[in-house]
Amino acid sequence: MKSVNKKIVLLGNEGVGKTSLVKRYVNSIFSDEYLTTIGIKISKKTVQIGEIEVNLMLWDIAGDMMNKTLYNNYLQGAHGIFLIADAIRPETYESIIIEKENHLSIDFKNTFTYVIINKSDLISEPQADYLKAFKYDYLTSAKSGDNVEFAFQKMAEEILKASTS
Amino acid sequence: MAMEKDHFEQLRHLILESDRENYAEQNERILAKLDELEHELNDPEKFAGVIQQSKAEIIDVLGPVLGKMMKKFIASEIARIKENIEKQSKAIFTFKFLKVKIKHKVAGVSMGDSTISQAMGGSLLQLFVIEKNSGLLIGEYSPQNILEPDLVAGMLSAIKSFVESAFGQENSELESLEYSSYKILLYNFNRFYFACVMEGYVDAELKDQLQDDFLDLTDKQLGSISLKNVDDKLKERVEIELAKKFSKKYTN
Repeated sequence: MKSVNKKIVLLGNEGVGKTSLVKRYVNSIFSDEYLTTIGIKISKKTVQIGEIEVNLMLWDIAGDMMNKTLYNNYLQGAHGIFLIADAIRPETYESIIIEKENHLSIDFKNTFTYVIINKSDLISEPQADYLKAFKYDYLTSAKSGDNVEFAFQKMAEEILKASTS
Repeated sequence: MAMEKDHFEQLRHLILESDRENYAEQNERILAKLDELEHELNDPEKFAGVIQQSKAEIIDVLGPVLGKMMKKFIASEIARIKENIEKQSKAIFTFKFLKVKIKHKVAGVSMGDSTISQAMGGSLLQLFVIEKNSGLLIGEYSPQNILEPDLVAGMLSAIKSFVESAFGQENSELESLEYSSYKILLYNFNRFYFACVMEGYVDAELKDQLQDDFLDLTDKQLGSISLKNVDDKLKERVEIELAKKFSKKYTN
């Protein structure tokens, strides 16, 4: 069976649930200590797409790294980027949209970039209304697992499609 | 005669009764001591206290045993080093030796260092070829298998990025990482880098030899590979080349 390796980076402010999303999804993971030491944690998930096995290397970047120059190095060579916001903290959404418009759409314009609104399990009716104003690709819950697998699977499919065409 | 027998019986009774009492008393004392000892041994704090108080005695008892073990280990290691040095000294009048000596003279490496290095020499535990930008593993060679080489490659790249950004000056790259008796040597090329996990004594000459091997490998085999898709085909190709180059090298 054919296999390919791809790199996906997860970005977003502190506490939006990046690490929980990864934990919900992956097969193997390094200790949390690395995240606090060098601002990154790497995990691996293998997904099957048709006849091809895709090894996704997930680079989970600490929220407070987004303002530092080092974080740009971690983005190098990424095939996909997930921008993650917290469903009940609108400021985290604003922050990733600024990052997307001012930085990623310029320096990483050929990299697949998707917005995830996480913690859908915490959304109550009034909050559902303000979500209508957000532009996002996936609404997930790391707690219940809703849409988590789906978001990563779709990203893997898009990346694979682009690399084989 | 009968009277004598009576006296003897009386005497025996008296003596044995006193013996019995003595033994019973002694037994009780021993049992009490054993209970006390058992209690002390089951209590970690008291046990530590007992050990602390009897440090000298413990050293006297264990010292010779440990000493013998260490002596045996050191003797076997010295024998191994001696054997390697003897092998090299036998080659002292050969053309190969003269060639090596000239090479060392040119490189500025002492023959002493070189002999120690070859005798105690570093051995290659694992070799990774990693794409520089993405940190994805292109191939690996490992005489001893380790778990999750993909994750190790990613973490090495992240650490490399971190160190280079935090402390590096322009165009400087991380060249080695050390942990205990292990050394990870990094050889940087334009699109990828080699990471060698070595154990043992690694001197300038060994580093130089590795660099020659990587230069040669990149020049002849890996320099032209396409990294557009890091897949199993590419990995297989790289790993065949690594095995060809390193299968009988840097083992001690």
